Amino acid sequence: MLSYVSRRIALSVLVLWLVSLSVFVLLRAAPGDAALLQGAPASAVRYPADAGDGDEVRWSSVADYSRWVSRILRFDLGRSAIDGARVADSLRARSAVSLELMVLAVVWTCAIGIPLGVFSGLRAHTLPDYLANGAATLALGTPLFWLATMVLIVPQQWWAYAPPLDGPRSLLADPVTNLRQFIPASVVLALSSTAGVLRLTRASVLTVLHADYVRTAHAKGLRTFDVLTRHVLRIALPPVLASVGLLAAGLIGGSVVVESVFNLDGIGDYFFRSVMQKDFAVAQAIALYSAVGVVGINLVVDMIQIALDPRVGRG
Amino acid sequence: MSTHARRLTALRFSRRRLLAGAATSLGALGTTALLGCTAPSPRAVSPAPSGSATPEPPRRGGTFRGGITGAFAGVDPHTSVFGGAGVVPLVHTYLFRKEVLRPDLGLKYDLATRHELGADRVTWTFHLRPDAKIAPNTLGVPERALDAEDVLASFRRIADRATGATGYSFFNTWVSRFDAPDAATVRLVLKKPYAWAEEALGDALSGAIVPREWLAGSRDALKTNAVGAGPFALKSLAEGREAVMVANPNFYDRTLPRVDQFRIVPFQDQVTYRTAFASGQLDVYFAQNIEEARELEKTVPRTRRMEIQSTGFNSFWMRTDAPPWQDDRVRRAMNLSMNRQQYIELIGKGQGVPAGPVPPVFGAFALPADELARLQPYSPAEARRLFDAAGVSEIAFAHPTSSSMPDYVAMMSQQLSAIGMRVKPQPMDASSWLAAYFGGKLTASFSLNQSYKTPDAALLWYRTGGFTGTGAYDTKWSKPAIDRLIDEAAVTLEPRAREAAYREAARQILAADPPFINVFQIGGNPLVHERVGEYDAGPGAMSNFMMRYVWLRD
Amino acid sequence: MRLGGASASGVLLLALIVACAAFASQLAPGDPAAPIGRANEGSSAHAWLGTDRLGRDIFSRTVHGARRALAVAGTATVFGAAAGLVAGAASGYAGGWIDHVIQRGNDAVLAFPPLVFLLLVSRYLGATPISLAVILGVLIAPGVARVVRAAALTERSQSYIEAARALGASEARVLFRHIIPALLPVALVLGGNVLGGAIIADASLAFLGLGVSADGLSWGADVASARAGFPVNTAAVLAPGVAIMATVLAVNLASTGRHPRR
Repeated sequence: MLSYVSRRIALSVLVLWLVSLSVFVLLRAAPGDAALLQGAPASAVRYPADAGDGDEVRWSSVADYSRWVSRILRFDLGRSAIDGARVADSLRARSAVSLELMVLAVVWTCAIGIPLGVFSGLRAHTLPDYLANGAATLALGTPLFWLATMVLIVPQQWWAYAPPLDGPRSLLADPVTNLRQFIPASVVLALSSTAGVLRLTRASVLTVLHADYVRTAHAKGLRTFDVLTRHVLRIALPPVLASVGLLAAGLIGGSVVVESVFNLDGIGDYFFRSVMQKDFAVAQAIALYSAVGVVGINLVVDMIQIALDPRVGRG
Repeated sequence: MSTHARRLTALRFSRRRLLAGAATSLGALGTTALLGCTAPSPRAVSPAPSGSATPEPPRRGGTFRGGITGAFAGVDPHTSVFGGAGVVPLVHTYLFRKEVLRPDLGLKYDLATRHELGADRVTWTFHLRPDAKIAPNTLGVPERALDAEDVLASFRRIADRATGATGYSFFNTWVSRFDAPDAATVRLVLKKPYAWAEEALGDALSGAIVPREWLAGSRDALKTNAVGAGPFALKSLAEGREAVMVANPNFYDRTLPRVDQFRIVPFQDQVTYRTAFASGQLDVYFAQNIEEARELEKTVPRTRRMEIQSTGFNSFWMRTDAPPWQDDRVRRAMNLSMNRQQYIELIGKGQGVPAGPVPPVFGAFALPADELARLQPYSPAEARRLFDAAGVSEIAFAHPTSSSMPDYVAMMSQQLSAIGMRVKPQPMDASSWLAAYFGGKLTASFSLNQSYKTPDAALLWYRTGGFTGTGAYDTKWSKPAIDRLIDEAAVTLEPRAREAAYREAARQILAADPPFINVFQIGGNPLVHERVGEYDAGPGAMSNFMMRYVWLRD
Repeated sequence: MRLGGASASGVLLLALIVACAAFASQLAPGDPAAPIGRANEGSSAHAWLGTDRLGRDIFSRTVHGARRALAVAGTATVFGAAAGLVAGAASGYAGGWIDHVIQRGNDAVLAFPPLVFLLLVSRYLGATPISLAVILGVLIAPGVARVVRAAALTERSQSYIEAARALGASEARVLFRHIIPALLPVALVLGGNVLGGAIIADASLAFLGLGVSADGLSWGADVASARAGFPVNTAAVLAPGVAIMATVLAVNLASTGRHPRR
């Protein structure tokens, strides 16, 4: 098991190296762009002589790549070409917003998706199961940008209510306003992952329910509750947890729209704008750190799985 | 190339168009005088809440809440063009403020208390007030009065090509030298008499006077913070989140500003911006068109709607050394193919005016509507004949993607395909487009929201050397006779004669099948919450001078 | 393959939408990009759902939008499934260093949040409908490859493969003539499962302004521009939104109950 864990960590490092290489190449080698940007930086009309991105010189050699990586590792991320702010500072403020959004979204996903999925699986092919499953199917088909728009506009049109839209408030300093902002946003963000988890949990529970050992447990006369917790969920849930890890990565994409619609200035929208405006220092930092996040989450999920089900580690 | 040709002027990409932009939201840029040039103050179309016989006395205190769409992109006093351009004029002082677009406001003295033009018609002398004290700050700049040294330091920064200042072209083209005979007097000597010198110095984006200690700091510091002697002091700037300004307790006029705090919130999404206003979270909102403004007026309680003329309009740019645009017939056909009435009806929702080389917002400097309609008619049949004669069946052009641009492109594509042309629009994200446009890498482009501070700037597109005179955005069009007309108009000091000179230049330009065609000038539709007692929404960048008078009823 | 009631209704609805896309020009004659009246007209005999902010027929745009949605998402899915099939089969069948390289490549793609990957690569390829289809395909491929690889591992020990080898078939020949055809159904079913997601992804990118073609016909792009006029024109926001939901619903229903064999 220990060797599995260390191998898993080594693989993660290898993947991150591949990721950093591709970020470096993709952002710097985009055809034509480099030449164009020599002409005018994104922020304003200036003169060719003035067009350097400060310390963001375009490098191309292997030595430059390693210099870049060592700077990134030291959290030296440079400055935004657009607003002149230190990228590290900008990220710090914005990651609090994105983190809260994502944590809340994962909480909704697990707190709603898993119990409903278990319930649906136990009551398979009854009306409540069909309702839950139907709602999940509908939710999976609803584009987030459409839903976010409706959640913002409809209450405003009908009840003249809108969440506070004048920028994110801190959870610690002003918890009430903060939750009025983040709850609707995170619920919208969580919708499709909740639906996905619901369906997955249902399928997983159904598979386990039909396994021989569950029938045996029932036959031994164990209480239904004990069968459920000790035998069914113990086996049915780990694969679900693994998928929650992957879904969390997908949330970064959804957060672009949610952040901009609810005016919560976070990482997602910041990344989108930085790529559009060719603010390379920002774009590469976020691309790299989000990849670290995804790889890290997957690693943690794997470890949890091993802890729950030791067979995984031996596989 | 004459030095005259070397100016880079205020190519101001108001964010309303460029990045689903912002300036107009503050009334800072892009909006201007009234429908009809005779009554150049914004027309409130909903009745004023109180009787107009006795004006309400202004109250003090409170927080004014404004919004922008897009980013601040820094608050550099001399290079800001995005949301930061709405902050700069509130925290800095200017010698004075003046704008062609707001003749009703005249010239407003600020740091200067009077000025005069010498008998030689090139020497300007400015007398400074002694009490323009720098706001309290944590940036290490002493709370002293601004003096002539600060003016000179600011001038030097603007005149330095490396700064990339919006006001550079004026200094580069027209200014011979400047000095300070004493601490309260500044002298500026021009190379030639220039009719728009006051407008150039009094421009919100060009002429900020900044404490010299602060100018000595790094470029990044100047972008991320600000300190000055204006009516407000920048308390905090969080890109993407808010800019908060507080009343400057050291401001020379003790009765101003009237609000304690001025908060600007940036929005990425027009829908969010509107919802924030509709739910009472903002005090002012700039609607996308008159239809939306009317709808909000009906549905949002306690709202006042205004209609203003805007400087925002869109243009088609062609490079005359590249096929098919080198052919005069093709350029003329482009202009004839534009159904401006349809643009106005569908995009402006009935509000807007066709634009010639000098936009109609400049009043008597622009051609009268009927003459303009004669000189650039809508004639699809003739356009088609000219395209056929030139052997052109395909029109390709670049355009930036931004909130409203797809509508303009859809319109143009449709009008061209209706006369049998194949249309190939090439969308580019705003910054790539700007870089390619600036760098001369495009052959044709739909371009957006040009707003000019003077008729002179509007005509630079037709001068040899292009809009900047440095070859950037150059159409490679060169007509010495037209260069002469543009130059003469700019040095004609007598107002009536100058107006006539600009009209004549426009006539000659239209007759020569120009490579830069303006489409139409859209209207501005601000809505203001009733709690706002006094708000000058209309006037281009002058409105941010008027922000010091804003007050709130509660 | 038996179809449940839900699957059958999904297939039916999907067939209807595909028919709309195929016969868009007959269903809604006239140019969907041309104004047919004033802006924001209400419903009438001549414009069933009214007109949008530029006076264009909303019904016509919605019907024609199906083409774009199905073309991009369909291409992405087919490409992703094909790439995943080849990579997964090669990985599982060949093993060794080929397996390692393909697996790590998969991991690297999956390490990016999907949108981050899309934006990065579209910076490089440019954001056209075709390039978006390709990039979406690249995002689909690793998931397909993973399952196909597992299936290939079992497949390679089947006796007919050993027989083929014994008869002197080259490795490549075995891979392309035997393994890949045997795994094709798996890849197809997996592709069907992600088609709905691809439709949403394409609409979301168009909503953000990426990869919209010259005629601007895309449900996502139409929602993006219509939502700013919501209180004035409700139909313009609802029609493309409902179209997306119906299509994804149809795809998801049609693919329910089908799991790839492993």
